[in-house]
Amino acid sequence: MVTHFVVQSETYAEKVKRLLAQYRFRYQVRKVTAAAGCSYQFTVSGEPSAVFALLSDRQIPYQTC
Amino acid sequence: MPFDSRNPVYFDNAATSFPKPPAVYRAVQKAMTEAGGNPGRGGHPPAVRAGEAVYHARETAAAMLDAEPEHVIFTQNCTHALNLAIHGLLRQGDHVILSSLEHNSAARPAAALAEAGIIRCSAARVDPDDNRTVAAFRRLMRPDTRAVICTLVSNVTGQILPVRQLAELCRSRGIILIADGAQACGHLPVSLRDGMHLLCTAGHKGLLGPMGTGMLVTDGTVPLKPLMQGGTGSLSSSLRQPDFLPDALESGTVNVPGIAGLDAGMQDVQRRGLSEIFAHESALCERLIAGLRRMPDAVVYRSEHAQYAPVVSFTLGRELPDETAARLAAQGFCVRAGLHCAPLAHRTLGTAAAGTVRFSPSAFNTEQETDAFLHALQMRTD
Repeated sequence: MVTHFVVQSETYAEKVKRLLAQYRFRYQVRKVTAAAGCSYQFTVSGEPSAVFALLSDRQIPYQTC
Repeated sequence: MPFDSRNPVYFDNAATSFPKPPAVYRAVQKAMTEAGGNPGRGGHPPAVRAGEAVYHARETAAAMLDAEPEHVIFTQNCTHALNLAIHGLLRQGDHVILSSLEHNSAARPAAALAEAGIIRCSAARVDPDDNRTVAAFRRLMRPDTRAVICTLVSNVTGQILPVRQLAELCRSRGIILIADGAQACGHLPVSLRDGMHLLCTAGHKGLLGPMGTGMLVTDGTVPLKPLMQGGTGSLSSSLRQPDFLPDALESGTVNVPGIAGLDAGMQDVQRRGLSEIFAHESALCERLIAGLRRMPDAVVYRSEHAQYAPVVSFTLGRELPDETAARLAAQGFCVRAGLHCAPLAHRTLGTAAAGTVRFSPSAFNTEQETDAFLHALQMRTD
């Protein structure tokens, strides 16, 4: 199962990277520079419920895609 | 000790620390040459490296102060952080209590709001006895008291204020505690777990970073209105300032070389150890005080009932503090004289007319330098 989400803050993107690594999720992140500013597209090998629970628990603002 | 005007002995670390650890100079250089992009504003390697450097500094600060990395807001200095906290928090009709030892960085923004008729201020007299100090704050608390603004350490005398007791009192009354950590961070253990809601600090003093750096660190529970709005690199299609930290309070390009240097400074403090730094600097202060006690007309502004960080204020008989500092400068020693931007503290001490001479060593100073300083103090012509 793969989970996709977007983070629009560089600070939170860095925090998410460390969090995913800490919980041993494999992930890829792509930084997208667009007119609306930078965003960070995460693809995580893991159940959406587990990944989103982790993000919500840490109050990390993210968007699903 | 021979006089060397190009390399004087620096005892003015309460103003800004000098020298910095070599790693700080290297980190600034590295940030400028290898991370020259704008953090959060591009996908190219220099911007990504800059973003990583800034986040790493947030992590270092958060680990040191027991906060979350995103709750570390980089500022220009402690004054900037205090203005963010004070102007960002206080609203029409709020009552605020300041300690009688506050620096102008806290006292002036509060006074400006009071002068504009927005808030009302009271000053709690700090006593050498912590219980009396806490009682003074408690007596001034009212139903409309919104915040207490209190330094952790006086920048004039080095007196350590009872932050844990004040935080407990504030939290029991639903009052926000804004702490000024400019003279405490890097010398004493400072933690958000002590109970303050907002911690403001300089980056260029005890934390050994470059000038032009500071931090506001929050516990994440206190919404603050930004002092200014602008580009954050995030949510760029919206004209509304992001509401999440640190972007909500960190508009415009941050000082990446300074922040990288601050990161290196904080790591140096952690490597040396706060207790070791405090013990070394305090021993130099005690050495100075012992020497001053042998000088019949020296007055040291310390009480045996209070606890002190490594800062000593003193005066020498009829010699004015600025005359003492000028005489010392001519002999190769850097200290600061006068009011130290803290007129409230000097009124409390009874030294508002001319101030004091302030000695503030760092981890890099030695016993030999302190002895030479004492010797220079004794070289008076009067």
